[in-house]
Amino acid sequence: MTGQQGSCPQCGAPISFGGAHSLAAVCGYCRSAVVRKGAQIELVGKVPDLVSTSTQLQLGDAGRLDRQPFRIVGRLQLDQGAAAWDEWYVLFADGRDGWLAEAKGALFATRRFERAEALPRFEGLAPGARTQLTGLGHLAVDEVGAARFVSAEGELPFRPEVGASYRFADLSGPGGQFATIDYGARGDAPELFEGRRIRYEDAALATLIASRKRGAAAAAAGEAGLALTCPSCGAPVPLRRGESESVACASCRSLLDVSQGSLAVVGKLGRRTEPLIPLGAKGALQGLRVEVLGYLRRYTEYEGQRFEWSEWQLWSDDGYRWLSEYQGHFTWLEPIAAGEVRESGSAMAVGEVRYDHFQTGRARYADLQGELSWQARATDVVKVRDYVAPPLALSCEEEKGEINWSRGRWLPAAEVWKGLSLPGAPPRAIGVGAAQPNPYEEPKRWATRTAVAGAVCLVVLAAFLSSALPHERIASLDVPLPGEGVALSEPFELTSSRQSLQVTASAAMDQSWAGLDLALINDDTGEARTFGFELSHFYGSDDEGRWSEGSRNARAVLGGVPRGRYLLRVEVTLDPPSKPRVPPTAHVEVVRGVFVYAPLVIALLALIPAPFWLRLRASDFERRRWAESDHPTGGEDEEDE
Amino acid sequence: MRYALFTLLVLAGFAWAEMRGATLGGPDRRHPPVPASVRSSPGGYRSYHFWHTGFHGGK
Repeated sequence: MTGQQGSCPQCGAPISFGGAHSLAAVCGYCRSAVVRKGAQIELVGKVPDLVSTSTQLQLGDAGRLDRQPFRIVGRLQLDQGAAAWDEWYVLFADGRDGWLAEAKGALFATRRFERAEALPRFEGLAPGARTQLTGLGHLAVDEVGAARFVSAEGELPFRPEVGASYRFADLSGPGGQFATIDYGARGDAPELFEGRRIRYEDAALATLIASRKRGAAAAAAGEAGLALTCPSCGAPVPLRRGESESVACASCRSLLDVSQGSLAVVGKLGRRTEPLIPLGAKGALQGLRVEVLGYLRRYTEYEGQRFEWSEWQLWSDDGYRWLSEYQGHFTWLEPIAAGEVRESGSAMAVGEVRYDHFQTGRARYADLQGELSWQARATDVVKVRDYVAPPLALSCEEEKGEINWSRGRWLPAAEVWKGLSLPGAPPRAIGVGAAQPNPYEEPKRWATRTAVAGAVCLVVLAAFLSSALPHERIASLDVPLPGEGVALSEPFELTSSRQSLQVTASAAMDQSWAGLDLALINDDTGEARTFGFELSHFYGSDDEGRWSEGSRNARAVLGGVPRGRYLLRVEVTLDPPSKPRVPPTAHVEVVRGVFVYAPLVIALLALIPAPFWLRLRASDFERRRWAESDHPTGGEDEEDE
Repeated sequence: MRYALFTLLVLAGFAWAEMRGATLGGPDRRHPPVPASVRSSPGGYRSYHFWHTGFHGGK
């Protein structure tokens, strides 16, 4: 059934069906919809004119997706009671068909999933829930709703019914995975389309679009957006983006709905606040060219206290973005599919990053200026959940059967000011931002690693020095014990500038005690360093069994002994009961160049304070961050960072 | 970076102190010089209670 040619039954203009799945076509001349039945072409009826959208594509555009060339052969316009969006019907070179949907500033490519089995019931799906689809895995439900047929052109794979409503569920998974279950009208069998969110360049359409834009820009030089008139006060209302659905009149503070192509008053806004960043500001942030479209002042109440923050909707090279500000702390936000987000205990995870719950609240509008990409109402209440993994943030907004996730990154105010070329100084940040990176975290980690490495190096160095030191015996003497006399060593020379000396004594004590008074005497200067040993060994038995006490050996290390000629004086003291039982001599030895532990202990202790202090500061910073959350961990004293 | 430099200084200081056999305090007391004339007299080193640290019997 491919390549069928025919003529419009209404006006006779040529009509072609290029694809095997193309069942209907809209006549490009008289806008009659026709369907083919075998070789016959039957008239269905008139299709309304296309509505204006900000699509970047057009019929006949050719691209390539996953190395498969395709061509746009049809266009479907749908809406949900608000602004229409475009879904482009494409034919691939392999004969298969698919869709490119442009919605909310993003592009989604899908193909019919032929192996779909047991699709869930429409009524059983809810935004935020997860469902198992055979062949596609677990996907998160982003949106459940119904779209109304608005208009069409070119070929379509189904019979168009003007005004018909088609139920659908959008789902998403990790890595940009996207799926739509098309439930059609009541009674229709659901169909599954699977694909992913892509960029225009992924479909080899970017060059074509850029070329077309240059032509359009040349034709409309000087024209900046669309100028509408406020139905309430008559003041001009500029509209920068065609897909905007709400706009606020700066003159009479009316909130206007622009989703129907003309402006309609849907509410009155309250007090006007002065945005830190003016509407229309342009520049570059996070590698994207951006323009500020809309401004929101939002608030939430907690225990009678009102917390306000600001948000700006931006248009970028890559669709919509957000900038959020609270007490001088800015967060850059970009939309992500719900399917990218998965639960991880009480936290949420995107990819490998785990985000901890920060706070949940119900956000209301305190002010709204400029234009927004959705149908805003002054009385809207949105459930907002915020998660953080500094410097990253994750935010979820739930409202009216829709769930929207955004992934963010904390931005220094100075970067925002510079990126948007804003005059004056950026606002001074107060307290700690929810996603503000902890300035002590990295130094703490670094210092801890350095301290551990330093400690290891110290131990290795100590082992090396211990083996490298001479350990040379330079004097020894046998000291007679029974006479309680004085013994002197032979003089010995120390040639190094300063060194350690180890003096040891040992005697075969047996139920006896001896005290040794030792003096290391510098024979050149007469300076002396004195110290004492006790040698003893007693043992016996009592009710608790055998016991023994005392030591037959003693040791002392003298540090920093300067070079010179020395001798060792040993004087013996005995207690009267021991006199008959002491051994004849005690052996005393002097060894130079032994390892001393004091420098090692001091060096190890010296490494501790810095990482310990940084750990305390990092912990205090976190305490102040979480004091603003639903999970405060301590006091609430404020200090600027 | 400053802490890394400090750690290097600690390592160097440790090696220097260890080579010099530096201790923090120690078991000994230091005494002023005894004149060489006294020390060189017969039995000079033996007779001075100056070096006595005070043992007065054990058990």
